[in-house]
Order: sequence, then C-alpha cells, then structure tokens
Amino acid sequence: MSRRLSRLAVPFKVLVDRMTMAVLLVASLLLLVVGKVDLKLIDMASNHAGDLAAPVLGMMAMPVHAARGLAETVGGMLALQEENERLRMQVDRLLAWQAEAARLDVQNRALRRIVDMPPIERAIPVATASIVGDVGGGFIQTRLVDAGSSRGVMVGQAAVDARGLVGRIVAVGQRSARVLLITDMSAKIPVFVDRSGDRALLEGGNDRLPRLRFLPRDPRFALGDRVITSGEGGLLPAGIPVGVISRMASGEVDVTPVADWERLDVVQILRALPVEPPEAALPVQAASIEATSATRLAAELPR
Amino acid sequence: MTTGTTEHRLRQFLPTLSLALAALVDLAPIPDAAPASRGPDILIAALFFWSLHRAELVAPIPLFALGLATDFVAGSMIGLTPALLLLTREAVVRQHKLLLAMSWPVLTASFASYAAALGFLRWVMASLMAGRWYHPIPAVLGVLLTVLAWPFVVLLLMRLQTALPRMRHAAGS
Repeated sequence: MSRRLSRLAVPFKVLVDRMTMAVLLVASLLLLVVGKVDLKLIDMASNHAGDLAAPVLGMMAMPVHAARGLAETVGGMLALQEENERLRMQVDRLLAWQAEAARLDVQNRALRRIVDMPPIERAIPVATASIVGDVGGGFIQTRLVDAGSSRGVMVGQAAVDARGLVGRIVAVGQRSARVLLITDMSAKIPVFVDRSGDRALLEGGNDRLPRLRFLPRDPRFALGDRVITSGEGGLLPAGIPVGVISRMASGEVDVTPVADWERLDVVQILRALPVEPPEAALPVQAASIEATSATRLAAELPR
Repeated sequence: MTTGTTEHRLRQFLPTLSLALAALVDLAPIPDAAPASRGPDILIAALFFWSLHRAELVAPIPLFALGLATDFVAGSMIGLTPALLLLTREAVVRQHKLLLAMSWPVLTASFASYAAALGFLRWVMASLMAGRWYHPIPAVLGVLLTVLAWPFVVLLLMRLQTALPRMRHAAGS
C-alpha cells in the first residue's frame, strides 16, 4: 500500500510542479502588464526594495572600491614625481582662475545691485551618496544610491560628481534613491552652450554620447564648446557643467559628458528644490499684490 | 549526514542562496564602466546549472520570489525576470536528459544559444514595453559576457554542489 502511494507521489509532485509553474508564469505576465500602468503600490514596493537592498549592495561594492583605491594608491606612488609636477601646474592654473572668479564675483554683485536683482543663493546643500547598484535591467540607465528621503533627497534633484552632471533623481525611498543618468534614452535636460549662448535640449540615446536637440536655426557654437544646464523649467539648477561638444555632423550634435564614469563611486545630490511653476505661485503672489495695493490705497485715501 | 537535520535542510537552500547571491552580483555596479555597458547575467548562468543538475532544489515559488525581488530592486519591468527565470528552469528541466548527455563544448554551445535567445527576448520585451527600439549592441555584449562567465560559474557551483545532499531528480522529468 505504502509502495503504491509512493509510486503515485512522484507523478503527483510533477503535476503540482507544472501547475505551479504555469500559474506563476501567468502571474509574471500579468505583473508585466499591471506594472506598465504605473501603480503607486508598485512604486512604493520598488522604493522599499531599494531601501532593503542598498546596504547589502553597498557591502558588496566595498571590496571593489577598496581594490580600486589600492590600485590608484600604488599607481600614484609609482608616478609620484610626474603627478607632483602635474599638480603644481594645475595649482598655478587654478590660482589664476580663482583670481578671475573673485574679480567676476565682485563685478557680478555690483551689477546685480545696480539692476536691483536678488543675490544668488550660495552653497546649495548637498547629500553625498555612494553608488551601490547598477540597476535598470541593462536597458534603463539608472544607478541606486544609498541616500534617500531621510537625508533630504527628493525626486527631480540633480546628481553630480566632481566634474559635472551625472543625472537626476527619479525615485526616492527612505534610505535609497535612483539616479537616471544623462545618457539614458528618457533623459532630457535643458542646456545652453557656454560660449555662444545657444539653448537646446540634451537628450540621451542609451549610448556614451547624448545629443543636442531643438537647436536654434543659426547655432553659433563650435566643437569643444562647454554645455551647461540652463535651469529652464526649474527642474535643475542653472550652471552645472554637463559636457563638451565633441562631434557635429549631418545635423547631429554629440556631447561628451564631463562626468567621470570610470570612477563613479560617489555622487553629490544637490538638494535644491525645483522652482515652482508660475501657475502654482500666482494665486499667492496675486493675493499678496492685492493686499499691498489695498493697504497702500487705504493709506493714500483721504479720511 | 542524516536527512531531516538542520544542516541537511540548510544545504538544500544552497542553490537558492547561490541564486540570490548571483542576483546581487548582477545588480552591483560594474567597476570602470561606461554608463551604457552591460555585465554578464550570472543569475541565468547559475540557474541553468542548477536546473540541469539539481532542479528539485530550485522550486518555482522561491524562483518567482527572487525574480520579483530583483525587478523591484532594479525598478525595471516588474514581472520580466520571474518570467525569464521560470522559462529557463522549465526549458532546462524538459531537456535535462539530452543536455546531461552532451559533451562540455556542446553543452556550452547550447547554453550560449539559450543565453542569446533569452537576450533577444529580453531586448524585444524591453523595447516593446518602452515603446521604442533600444540599441541592440549592449544586449549582444551582455550575452557574450554571460557566455564568457559560464565556465567560471560552473566551476564555482560544481564545488558547491558537492556539499549538497543527494536526492532524486523529481522535477518535471
């Protein structure tokens, strides 16, 4: 009897296994469709999963960072004299730039006072975060960083490295966030060319070089010109270096990003709030203007 | 080693644990890489190995959960990884007698063909979901790297397999 039962148990297990497999496959396909609907629940679950995985991925990335640090230290020691000479030259060049920057700062302040412009807000607060995950499934170019809403990170903020713009925050958990790189297909950043002042939209193509779109009719830029954020739309602060124009051919303008992808272990998230659209600010401003006018009118009217 | 002991049960989880580790390795940032570069798909290579040798220890439900967790962490198409993992297990289990009879080069070639088919499927699905065609080169690079990683994954998992309890192959064959 027990032998007969055990003989039946194997086909039964196979049947259960196959049915489970079929049900789970259908569930996966359903999830693919449901996930496309952009449900808030899926976003929340994704952010929580990022929070849970960030410390583990961070620990896994530690040996890689340590090995790279060691290799750089050894390499630096071997080329110490050459490095020293290079740094001396760089310091000389930077001192000249510092003097020029100080001069321009004084001039800028004076000009702003003359035209009654508010002073530029200095020192945008930053949150420094390590890149712990290369997420996105290979097709979406995103990185998982170990700083989230608990450190003031919000959707829309810019992520930069020591050289310039890396991307912007597209999802935030409590302890983690996702950065959409400027090279991703869906990344679109309003920029302007430093020397010529031409405005354009920088669009990623999932390759190394993003392109400039919506160019003016008679652009005046040239190869080697710097591209920086324009701050249009209020999403990103203006003036962040993005890249350098590296190729112009048959209407295509490629930009080589300044971000150092090879050593992209740490990013700084600029915690500047996106500028509110005028429609949102308008009722408050209008009310305030009306109140001021009413007060003035009341004061000016003969009693 | 007696069946039913805690150690025995823990060893039964080794394949699932190794798959979870492979998923984490896949998600880790690639050192010295351009943003468009791809890494090898270690998870698929490891699953192919376990489905071939110890499919009874890689149950569909943990596999589904692992795929789902990977998709949630990656923040990409939810449901794609579980579907691909389940398909891989099913495909290997159905052909496991044939695959086991193959010589190492033929088995590697079979894995390469499967990885290429899966890479193509992933590329088509991602493009359809995004509503535009992604550049195929990173996907091709990913497949090549997966095939290159295959011998190392097998070498590593063969060592792990010796620690597993012997069981009958009962899944689907």
